[in-house]
Amino acid sequence: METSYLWSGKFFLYNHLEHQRSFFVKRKNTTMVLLFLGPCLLLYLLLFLYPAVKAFFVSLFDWNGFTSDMKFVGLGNFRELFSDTHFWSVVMANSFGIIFFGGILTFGVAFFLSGLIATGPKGKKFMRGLIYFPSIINPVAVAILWSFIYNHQYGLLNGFLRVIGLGHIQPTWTAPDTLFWAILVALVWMYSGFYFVILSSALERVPVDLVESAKLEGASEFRIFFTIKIPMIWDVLVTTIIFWCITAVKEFSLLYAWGGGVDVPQAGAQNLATYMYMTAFGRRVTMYRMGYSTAMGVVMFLIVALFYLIITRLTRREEIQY
Amino acid sequence: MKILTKGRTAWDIIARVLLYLWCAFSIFVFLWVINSSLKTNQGFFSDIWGIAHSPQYGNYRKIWTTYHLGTYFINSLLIVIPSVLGLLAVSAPAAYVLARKDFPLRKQITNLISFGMGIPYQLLLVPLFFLLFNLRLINSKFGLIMVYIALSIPFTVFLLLGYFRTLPKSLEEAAEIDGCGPMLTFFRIMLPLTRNGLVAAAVLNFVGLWNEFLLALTFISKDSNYTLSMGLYALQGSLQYTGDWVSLFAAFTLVVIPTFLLFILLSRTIVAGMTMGAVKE
Repeated sequence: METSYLWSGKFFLYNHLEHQRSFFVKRKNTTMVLLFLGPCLLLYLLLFLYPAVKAFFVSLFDWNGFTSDMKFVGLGNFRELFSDTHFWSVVMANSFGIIFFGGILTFGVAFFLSGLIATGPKGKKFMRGLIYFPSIINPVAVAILWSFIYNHQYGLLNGFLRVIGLGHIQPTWTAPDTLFWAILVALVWMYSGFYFVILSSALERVPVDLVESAKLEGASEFRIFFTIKIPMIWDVLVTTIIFWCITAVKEFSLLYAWGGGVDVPQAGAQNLATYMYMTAFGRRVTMYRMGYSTAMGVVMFLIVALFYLIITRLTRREEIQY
Repeated sequence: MKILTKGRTAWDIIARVLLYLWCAFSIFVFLWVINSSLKTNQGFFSDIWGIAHSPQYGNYRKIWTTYHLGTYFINSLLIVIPSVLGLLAVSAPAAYVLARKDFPLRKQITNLISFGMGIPYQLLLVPLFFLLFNLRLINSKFGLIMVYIALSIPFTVFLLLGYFRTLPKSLEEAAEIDGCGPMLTFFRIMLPLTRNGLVAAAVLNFVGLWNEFLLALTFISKDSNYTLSMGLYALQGSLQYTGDWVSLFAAFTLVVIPTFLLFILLSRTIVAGMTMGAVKE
């Protein structure tokens, strides 16, 4: 009885000391965590998350920004946006055009080129660098470059047609009805390098013996690609597709710079990003519709969220271990 | 349908030709721009294919000084370099504690920061503009630097988190046994070991911010503070209007050169960054 009392007393003391020790260790840990995490979290919360949350609030108001007079309109901005025919027929059409057609072309080119690079042609390293390089050029510079390529009179394309004796065909590449596609080609040229590098390094990690044994059993390249390689790089592919959707819906620089300093891009160069910028800050056409513009920002966020949900739901598969 | 004895099909050949064509196109375009940037406007417009026999280096001088590309270039350096350094200074410690220390809400904070990667920053453009406006940070380099840092945090922390997670636990334990405090452990042991990750983060962010256009356009309007993207945008409008194409070719070349140099140097560090690790467990 006595001993057990003593023991429990000792235990109590021991416990107490241990508690104090861990308290000090914890405190030391806490100071470090606060010190290390504090500045980062503070900046992130103040300049990123706070304005992001506030955007949802701003999108409910009619506001020109420079007066304190904010008129609450509820979902009025969204209602106006969704009933705006220009918004659907030009802005959203182009945004989704970039996401879908741009995505198909970009991933198509990226897969195609990485398949070819994998066969180990001469100058593989050099070509790899060359394919990647456009994705790190300033997009404003890319816009300038392609406007030189497409220029009707002095452009490379029409010049090339003249050289090969097709001088009688001199299309206006950037005519209103083809402008969107002309820009899309420039976009694909610019972005495919990035996806090429990611996908080709993922494809390289697919075990050679799997591919070899499939070959021995007589599977075609086509079949190997879709039944072995694609499932093997599935997680990388899903991530890059989501990344593409975010990049594509955000795409601003190339389209906005396309017009060459003209503040209102032509219809073919308008998407959600440029339209929302013009609505809020356009300098030559002054609209200053902050709430309306922010409503488009919210739509953009919802599109990204929707894509994220759809893609992660649709592509949920068993992870393949190798 | 095997045509060659090596087992190559016609499709293989066609495909390979397409690969070479894609690459040849890019090389040709770049060479064409550089060549054109050394011509006179007259020379260019009379024959777009002609070689620049007497190189007009004056085009570069003109775009650099008369058209102020030099100022924009220096502005970009003055904005992007502090942004990248500041970004690493706040992100690396944060990523370190998130990866390797145990504390309440750790998982939630990690998720909160990662969440930022999925937010298109157009969403916060308007509120951020007025926030900066109230803080008197519109039209200021410092303001843009702060925005660049804040908006690059999610990606950078996420990237560095991966690097810190790969380091073996035994490193910290050994340091503690040797009487090294947690601060010292971070600065003297863990940070140097993630050098590759830091370089990768620095390079990727440098390129991204060097090419950034929308935020600069929104938060800077005084032309003495223009970044390279904005300057190039403004020049594109005025020079195409006045028909001074050769200067625009020169501007293009000057803007692309730093990225190109970095790209030459970087390709090796990025690869090195992928194969890292000090102690193999």
